[in-house]
Amino acid sequence: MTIKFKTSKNISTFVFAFSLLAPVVLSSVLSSVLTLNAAAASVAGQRNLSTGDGKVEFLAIGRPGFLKVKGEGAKPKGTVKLVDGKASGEFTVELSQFKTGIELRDEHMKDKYLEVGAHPKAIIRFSGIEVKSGAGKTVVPAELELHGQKKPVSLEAKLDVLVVEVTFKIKLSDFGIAIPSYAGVTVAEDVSITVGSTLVESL
Amino acid sequence: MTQMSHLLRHFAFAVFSAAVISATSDLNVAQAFPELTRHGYASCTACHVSPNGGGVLTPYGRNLSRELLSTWGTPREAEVGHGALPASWMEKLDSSKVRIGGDARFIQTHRENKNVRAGQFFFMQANVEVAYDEGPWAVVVSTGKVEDPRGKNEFKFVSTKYYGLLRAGESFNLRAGRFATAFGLNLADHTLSVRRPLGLGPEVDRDNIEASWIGEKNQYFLSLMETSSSTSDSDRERAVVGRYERVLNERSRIGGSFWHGDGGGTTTGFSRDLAGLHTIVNASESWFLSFELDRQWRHVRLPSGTSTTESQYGFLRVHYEPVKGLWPLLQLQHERGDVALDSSEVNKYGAGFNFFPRPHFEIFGIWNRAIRQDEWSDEAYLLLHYYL
Repeated sequence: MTIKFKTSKNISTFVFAFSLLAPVVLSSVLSSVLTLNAAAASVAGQRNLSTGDGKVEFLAIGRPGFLKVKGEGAKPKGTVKLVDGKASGEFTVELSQFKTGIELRDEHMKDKYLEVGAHPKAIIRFSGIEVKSGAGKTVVPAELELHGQKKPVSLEAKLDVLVVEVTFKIKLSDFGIAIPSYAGVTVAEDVSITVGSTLVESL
Repeated sequence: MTQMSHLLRHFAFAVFSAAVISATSDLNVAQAFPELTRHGYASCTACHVSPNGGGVLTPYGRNLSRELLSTWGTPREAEVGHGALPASWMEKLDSSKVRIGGDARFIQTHRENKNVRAGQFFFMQANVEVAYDEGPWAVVVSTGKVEDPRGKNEFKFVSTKYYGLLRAGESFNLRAGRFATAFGLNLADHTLSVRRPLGLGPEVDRDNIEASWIGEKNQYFLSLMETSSSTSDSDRERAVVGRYERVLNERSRIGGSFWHGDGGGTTTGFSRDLAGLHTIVNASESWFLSFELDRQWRHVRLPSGTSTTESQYGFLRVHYEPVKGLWPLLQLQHERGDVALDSSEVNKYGAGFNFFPRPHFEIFGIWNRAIRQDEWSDEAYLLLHYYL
């Protein structure tokens, strides 16, 4: 990152601005390249896969101020079975692994709202996700077990044989979770969740 | 440890009380931490009553200072009075609609070049800010004193901030009164090149009517501004000012501002246009940077015609947070008072730190080497700040 001012007025402005924008542009390009390199393999027959490296994130919006509460750190564990180009399986997530960046908020989330002592895991069960290399996302029905309750959810799923990514939204009240509120800031009832994982062949 | 916290609580409260009682005149220094964008706080309204940040805190913002900013701390240290007042009073205050804030600042400056070596310690600011926050509307009044480093030492109470705020729905706000106009980044450091050299520092009181729309991804501010009647002829101005910000990746933001003003005295007048870009980028959990670059076109009306000067001011500040509450920083500031003149260019290379040892305590130190052509000068200051 080069920053230089001892130049003509227009060039110095350009260099100053570019020095900031360059990392953003490069990051976007790299991200695109990595996406295009998703694995492409045969989908015929039956294969048993299990999760490799993965992550689960959630995003909730607090009001006032539209503050973003992002939960990170949890990893999905589970298996996926591929039969005739369609995937079914389940992912389990240890809820105690989530961190939001503020210790007190994590405590409240786990103890007061998710009640991880009584309900330590969330489980997503799905079937019928079509496996297509390079294809976009498809919407498939699934079941989410959270806070001791099982509810249907609609997954936006993308499965490129060895990489799976699903996103979905839940309504906290559907799972009997109280709406988090602290010192005048209240979290919106809808929470977005993303699950992504590589898949490896299992016996 | 408990005894130490107890002593600290009383010390902080005593310092603040003494500051409020004994300081000399008010200075409208905004106190916001837009750097907290990296934690998901892209707008100011979760933590501050003001839509543009700074000033009196909401109960949430008060607690966040302990949870997110300070290295050490106990729960009650974030309270008004730093935990020295009875807990029952605090419970009543928290459940009421009254919000209390304020600032006390002490500063040690140092300036050195081949001709001068000078330092000064002074009590910069002490003020109290009170808000009545009804929900859909709020009223905020600040009063206090400051020691003028230029030697005035006037002993008077003044109020450089007061406003009424109407929250019309979740996103739309209307505000009228005296407060800092929303332009660029609202950092507390008013010595930055994008403030005082552009005449946007706290020395000038500004009356505003401000409309703002704060959404999940986009934020808009539009203000009609007029400097107060006490402003000197040369600084008197009316302006229309706008600011837009876009939230990126939940934890960064980028924005632009404009300012069109007209003013001056009875014999000569001026108009000016400013355009600026700013951003706060969260590069990783520990690295973050803030940046602003403003360009000004100032047209001075003279009997012989109009003279136009184009100038440019900017800064880039890179922070690293090795442990919570300690932010070492490197910064670059750029000033070019007349873009047509190389001799007007000053670049300042600086290093410093923010340190938030306990809730509501801030220590800020910065050293800058300013280089103009072949001349250099060093400037440094150490700021001790306690906000109520």
